[in-house]
Amino acid sequence: MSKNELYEPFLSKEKFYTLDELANIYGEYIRRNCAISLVLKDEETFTKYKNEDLIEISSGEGVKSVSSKLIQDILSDSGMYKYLQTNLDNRLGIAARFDYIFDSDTIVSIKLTRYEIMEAFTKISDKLNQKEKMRLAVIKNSLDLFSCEQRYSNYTHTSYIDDEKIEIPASILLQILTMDEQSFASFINNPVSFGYKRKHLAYVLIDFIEKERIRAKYVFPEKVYMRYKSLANYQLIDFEALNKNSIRNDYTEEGKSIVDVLTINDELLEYLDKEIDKTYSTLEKSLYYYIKLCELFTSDPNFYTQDYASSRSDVSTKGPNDAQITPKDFIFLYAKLLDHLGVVYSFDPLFDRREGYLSFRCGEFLMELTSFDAIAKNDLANIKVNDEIANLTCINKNAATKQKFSEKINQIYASIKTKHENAKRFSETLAEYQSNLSKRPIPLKEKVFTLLKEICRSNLTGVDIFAYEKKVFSAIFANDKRIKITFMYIENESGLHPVTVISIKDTGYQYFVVDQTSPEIIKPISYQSMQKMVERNDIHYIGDQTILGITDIKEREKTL
Amino acid sequence: MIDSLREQCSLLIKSDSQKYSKIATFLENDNCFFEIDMETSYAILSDLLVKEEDIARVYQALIRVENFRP
Repeated sequence: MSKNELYEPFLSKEKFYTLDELANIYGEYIRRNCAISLVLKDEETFTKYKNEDLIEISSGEGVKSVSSKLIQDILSDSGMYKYLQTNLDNRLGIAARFDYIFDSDTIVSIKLTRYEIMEAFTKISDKLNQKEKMRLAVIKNSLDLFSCEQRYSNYTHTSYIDDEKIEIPASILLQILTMDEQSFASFINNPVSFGYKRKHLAYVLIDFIEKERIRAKYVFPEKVYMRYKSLANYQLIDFEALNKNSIRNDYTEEGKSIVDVLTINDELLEYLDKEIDKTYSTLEKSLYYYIKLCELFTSDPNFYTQDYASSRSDVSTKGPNDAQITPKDFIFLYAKLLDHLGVVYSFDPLFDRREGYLSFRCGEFLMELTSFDAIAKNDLANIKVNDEIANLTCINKNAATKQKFSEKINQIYASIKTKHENAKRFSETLAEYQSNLSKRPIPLKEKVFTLLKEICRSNLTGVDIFAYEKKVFSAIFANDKRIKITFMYIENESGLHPVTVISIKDTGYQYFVVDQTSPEIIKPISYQSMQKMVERNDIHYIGDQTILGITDIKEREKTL
Repeated sequence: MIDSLREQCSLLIKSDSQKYSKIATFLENDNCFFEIDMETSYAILSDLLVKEEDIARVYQALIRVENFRP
């Protein structure tokens, strides 16, 4: 039996169309569109139901006016009452819809959700007679929490959280809303409940309530509703970051990611990683990089005269030696660094206009970086003068998360400032100490011996050796033009491996190749062998490519 | 190694507070011998009364990879 057959026999034939009548008079299209409605025959009645004796009720969207005449008729008219009973569990959450058809094909409607209809019933409950009160009690019963629990007792809700399929029985989800205060507090405080992660439970619960339109279909007690609300606004459990930034929105018309094809200058990476605390978490690194980039870069003055949408340029040169940048390129560069850290980000679809922004997330934190367009809100300037950070903000609604973010970024900002102050004090004191010093020269031979000895005994492998070698080299041979250190990767069957070349110009040229994978580690090689080596096309230099007596001579020849 | 130099510096500071307070500032930085050129480092070690014949060996120990805090 179809639904309409359950209530149509009770409907007033003068007042309402049956679905068959609708099909005959207006056609199948209207019948399909009015399949869950009661269609009034008379415009006057529809107008009364729309405008007569209006009462105000709260609805999901705010305050709404409904006719108390309509509400009372739903309980007094057997056909309308039966219709409401039949339609209460409709998936759209519209408990009752009353239509009128104008000009053969225009439908006007009065729609009431379950929640709204219950609000309206409560408002007119004083005016109801005994029979209507009894009918209302039956309706209330079918809209309450128990009825919801019954309806979903065998249902399992599925949500996808960051590409993971999470299935949780609705009975568990509803239990969270109805459990006693002590159990609820335990749920809030434990990372895992019912065998699921707390954040997943909260996410799936809200997803279930929204997708199944539970609030429109059922009327929950105030306490349950407040509990739902406190979870939905992330105040009790901050799961707002879940499923965020899943689409990057940085694709060109050819479908290529703008950030993927960007390259970052080695000097810039070196500048960023130079003093970074290696114990920093990904979030801390991303905040540290941001502050360091703002310290380094200045706004490209041409930016303000350029068309924003087409103002993207090559950022691969940007770094300590090319520090003018447009705000837009800065954001792309920062997105590249985030990508490098494994942080997911997305560009606002309006990014090509000035008001666009970049958003990204780390753990529970959701952050947004706005353009440096406004002079008053420009971190490229703010950070250089130790002012407050304005463009990078935490957008979580949870107050505790916001507070944690604020503490974290201020802590990193302060530690960078302290490092600067210490470095300044160190270099000023060093200059003072050196001014009263008569330095004793150290023979080149002794210096080379010290360097090679240390490199040889270090157990570092891979790229880690470069940082150490560079540091020791600069201490021993500060500004000594007779010696150079050159870092490179050489390709072989097993891939790329790091090699260091030390070139010395004393009475003649001397070369040492440091290769941690070879048994002797440091190998002296002849000028000819060195020349052969640099002619290989499987060398990838890191930073300065100068090898004394070889590449510097070539460069000179080129310029001549 | 750097700790014993700090100790030595704190003992010498009374004798020439101007000089040794500067050296104490350098020694606050764990990586100071990686930040200062070799000639100045030798002078610092000499000021800290490291014997002339031991300076090269002590310096070598100070710039070991184990003492480098990246």
